[in-house]
Amino acid sequence: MKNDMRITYPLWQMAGIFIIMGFVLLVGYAATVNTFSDGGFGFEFSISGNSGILLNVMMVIVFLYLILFFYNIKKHNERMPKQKISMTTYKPQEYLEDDELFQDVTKQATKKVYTYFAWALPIMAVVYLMLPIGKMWMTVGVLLLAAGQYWIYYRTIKKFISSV
Amino acid sequence: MLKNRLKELRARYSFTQIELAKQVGVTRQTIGFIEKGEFSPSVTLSLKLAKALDCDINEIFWLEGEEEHEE
Repeated sequence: MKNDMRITYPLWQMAGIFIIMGFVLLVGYAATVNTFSDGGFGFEFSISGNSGILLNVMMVIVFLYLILFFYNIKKHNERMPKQKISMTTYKPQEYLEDDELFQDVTKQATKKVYTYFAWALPIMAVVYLMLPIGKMWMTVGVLLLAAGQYWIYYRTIKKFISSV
Repeated sequence: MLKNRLKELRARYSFTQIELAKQVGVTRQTIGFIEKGEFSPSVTLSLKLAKALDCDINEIFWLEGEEEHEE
């Protein structure tokens, strides 16, 4: 189970979300939206100085992330041909469904995620309604919420795996 | 709570957890969790275990408080 990428898959998802968050912050700081009085809007993206360096750093991180991610998937699929990770299915790859025990653990983890969203989404909606939060921070909030679900799922599965 | 004597019956046939797991089509971890009482198997799996251990399902599993098994 130690080399099973399905266990660490939520962490990869979280890393992907944090990379996207980096781009959101970059766009948030480097872009200007102009609304015109006769309708429509203009989107200006200015890369210079620090934001240019940051963009290059982000691109390197994305490149490294994708290489490591697909390399690990390849290794996992070679090690565990019966539990392959496939990018062509809608089913989340982190689900463990080897037998009824694993299905039960997956059910427990997804129940926790469901409970998390049942509380977090209304709270977030109220916060967004009441506080003057900009688009960028709203998007960051949504991304943090998404990262939170993977963290909850990972912690539950990890607890089970360490007790095996 | 569901109690069991799976470990005892498995030992009778000198099965390892892996061997029994293979026979009934589950993972070794599932057998371990059932033996520890941390997982209640489905009726299907219980019947498969009973068949693999050549005994009645009631000999493997019983509900906590049932005197005949607890004695």
